[in-house]
Amino acid sequence: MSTEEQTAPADTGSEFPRTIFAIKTALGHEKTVAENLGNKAKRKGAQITSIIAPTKLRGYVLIEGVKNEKAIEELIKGMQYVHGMVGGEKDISLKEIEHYLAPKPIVADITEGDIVEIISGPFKGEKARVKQIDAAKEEITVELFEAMVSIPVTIKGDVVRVIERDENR
Amino acid sequence: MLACKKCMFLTEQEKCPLCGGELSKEWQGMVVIVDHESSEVAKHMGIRANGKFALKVR
Repeated sequence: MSTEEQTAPADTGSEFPRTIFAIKTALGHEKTVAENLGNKAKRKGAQITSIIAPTKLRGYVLIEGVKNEKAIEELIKGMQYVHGMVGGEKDISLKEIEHYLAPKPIVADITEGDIVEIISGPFKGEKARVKQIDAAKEEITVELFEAMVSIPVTIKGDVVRVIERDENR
Repeated sequence: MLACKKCMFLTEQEKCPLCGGELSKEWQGMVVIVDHESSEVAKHMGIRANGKFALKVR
């Protein structure tokens, strides 16, 4: 399917096109809002086809459906943790949110030989060199610089920050 | 709530009710599919059922 086909508003049989738009939520309650809104949309037969709560988009959830502002305002009225619909004429295309739907693996930016700083866990603050990467498990094996004996330690890829790239790669 | 490692369906059960896959407690992001037949997001993600799905499962 081409991008043109993906982003073109679908024929909804109503005067409003089917598109993607955002609603503002309380921070940290995005998933709760998505769940509650999904249940309410089903119950009320609202023209919503999906609700997306990406981890990296804090304070918002994305709604795919018919953008009938009056109907949406009515649907979200009184809902806990919902602050309202994000206004504006511009709609969001599927292409713009694609990166939220298939997030990049955590270890994608790390390569063997990189020097990293461990940012949480029992080794917090320690510097280490990356020896091995397990992309499937999103784990990396590192050797701590300050350890007396060099013992490989396997940790999750999201607990490190790359501080120096391996120039030879 | 646990996520299926194969189809990313979110469930409270011990096995994925959709595909029978193994479950994981390490997941991120959520998409609630209300109508999978008309949802472009569901098509893009290859989802053929309604319900809650994770965006990323480890």
